[in-house]
Order: sequence, then C-alpha cells, then structure tokens
Amino acid sequence: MPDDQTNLLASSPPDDQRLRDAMLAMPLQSPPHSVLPALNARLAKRRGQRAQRRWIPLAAAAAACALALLPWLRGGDRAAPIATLQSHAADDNSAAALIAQNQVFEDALRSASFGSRPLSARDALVGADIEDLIGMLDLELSAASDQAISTDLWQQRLTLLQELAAVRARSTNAKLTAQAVDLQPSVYQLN
Amino acid sequence: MTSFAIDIPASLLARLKAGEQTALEQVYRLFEAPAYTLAWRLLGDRDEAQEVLHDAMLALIDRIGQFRGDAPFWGWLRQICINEALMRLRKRRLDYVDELPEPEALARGLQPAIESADLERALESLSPTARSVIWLYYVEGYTHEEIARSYDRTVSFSKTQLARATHKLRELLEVKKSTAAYA
Repeated sequence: MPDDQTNLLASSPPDDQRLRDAMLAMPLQSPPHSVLPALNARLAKRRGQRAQRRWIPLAAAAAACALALLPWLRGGDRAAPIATLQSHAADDNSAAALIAQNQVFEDALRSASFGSRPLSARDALVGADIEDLIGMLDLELSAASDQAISTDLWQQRLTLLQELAAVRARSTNAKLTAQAVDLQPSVYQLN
Repeated sequence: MTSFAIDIPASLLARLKAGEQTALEQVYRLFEAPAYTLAWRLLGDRDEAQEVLHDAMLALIDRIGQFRGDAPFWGWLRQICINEALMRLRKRRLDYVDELPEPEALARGLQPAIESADLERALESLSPTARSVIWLYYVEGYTHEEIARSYDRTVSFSKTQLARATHKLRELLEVKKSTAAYA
C-alpha cells in the first residue's frame, strides 16, 4: 500500500469510510497453486466410491442368480461361468468390466440350457419381454457414441440379464421340483 | 463493493447444478481469487486459506441443489467460504478472545526491520477475531447482525470487536506515520 494512502488513513480525525475504501482497494490474492487438480481428484474418488456403493446390491443380486443357476449346471465345464460370474460381480463398473459381466451372464444363461426346458406361460412372457428390452438396449448401444451413456446402457443390460436369469431359474426350478415329486413313486417301484 | 460480487450466467448455474465438471472449473476460476483472499483475510494463514478454498468448492458441489436463486449466487458461495473459514477459526480455540496485539508486538511490527508495515501488515497484526470482524464489516459489507449470527454471538460482540479493531488499526497506522516522521 502506498505511503500516502497510509498517511491518509493515519490522519485524524479517524474516518471509517477511508479505512473501508483503503481495505477495498487492497489487491486480490491468489493461492500459490490451483486447488482444481486436488478438487477433481477428490471428486473422481467420490464418484468411484458412489459407483462402488451402487454396485453392492447388484453384486448381491448376481451372486444370488449364480446360486440359483448352480443346480442346473452339469459337469465341471459348466460351473466355470458361474465362478467367473461371481468373481466379476465384485469388480468395478467401468464400461469394460460391464461388457465382460454381460458376456459372462449370457454364457451362463446359454450353458444352463434353459431354452430346452418348458417354462410357465407367465414366466415365458416375462422372459420374452426382458429379451425384447435387451434387444432394444443392443440397438441403443450400437448407436451410442458417448462413453457415459454407453456405460449406463451396459449397466441396464446387465441388470436385465440378471432378471432374465432369475426368471428362468425360478421357473425351471419349480418345474423340476414338480417332476421330482411325480417321479418318486416310479423310483420306489424300480427299487 | 466486495470482489466476490460476480454474477454468473443462468446457463452456467444450470450446468453447475447438472454436475458438469467444466461448469465447476469455470466457477472455480471466477471465484478462486475472491474466495482465497477472503479466507486469507479471515484466517491470516495462506495454507489454511487454500484448504478453505478447496473445502468451500467441495461444499458448493454438495449443496448446489439447495441453492434456490433467491439471493445472488456469489453471496451464497461467499457465505460458504466464510462458514468454512470461521469453522477453522473456532478449531484454533482462539476464537472470541478479545485479545489484541501486545504493545511490544505492535512495536515490533513497526520497527524499521519490518518497515513494510502498511495496511496489509497492520491487518496481520490484529487478532484473528478482530481481523475477521473488521474485514466482514468493511469489505464484505456485513451488518453487525450478520456478523453476530456468523459467530453465534451477540450484536454487541460484533460492535465491540469492530470498535477495538478499528481503533487498533488506526493506532498501528498512526504509529507508522510517526515512526516514518522520526526516521
């Protein structure tokens, strides 16, 4: 601050307005370095934590689906997709990870051979609806150019695949239980 | 008028509310110096001022959804910065102490060795509470009621702090003038 301004302030009688003006005229200060990089890093970390929290129920659902599919997998080679499925469920939800999880679910659904088993009419309709929705998502995915949108679509697709697996597992499980009950007398007869 | 008084376009505010990172960066660049200066004036510590700047921007992101636009955006952001700075002042446990610099300290601040004492220096010589009250009153245009609310104290607290700080500031500058005259 220039000396003449200081002298002006020091002159009596005291003048509040002069003090105010002098303070207002003081130059702005800048931080030694921008906090923007630290801010962005902090926000990125927060986004990661939020995504992880969102993924927890999804991972739980995936694990539940995997367990539901387990009885329908025959032999060691069919157990592999489920194991992979469970391990992938704990991963992050980046686009690449989501795509891989989608693939794992599709493989698991195929290897479980649900298609050869009769479904209830209601489950068949629900399953068909989910497949239609997946088809629509595939169309959107083929047109999506934005990475964030694409990631979101893959996430939605994964959720639909999980629902589809749950529907098929429930239906076939019920069917098998009924068959097992029907077969019981025959088994006893054979023995 | 306070350097904080920067109006931002409605489109920028909308982008900020939508969580656009580029909008945050724009707002940061606009308010970096005013926010840092304010924090530094209140705290008298550059490192802490920088932390306040960082935390205030984080708080801005967290609370932007609550901003209804009844008052100017800059006033809202300024209040966030002031709150963050005052919170740190309170943590120092130096708050609300009516201490003023010892005469010896004042003299030290005005000796030729650190003769660059000007208004800036005089402000630094004040206690954190006195400095923050005087800054809020004269520069940020806060009323005694608003200062009292910010500190969770009475209006008389604000008036007393301001009177003492103003007197001390003038005294410091007066002594400087006398010292200069004898030099």
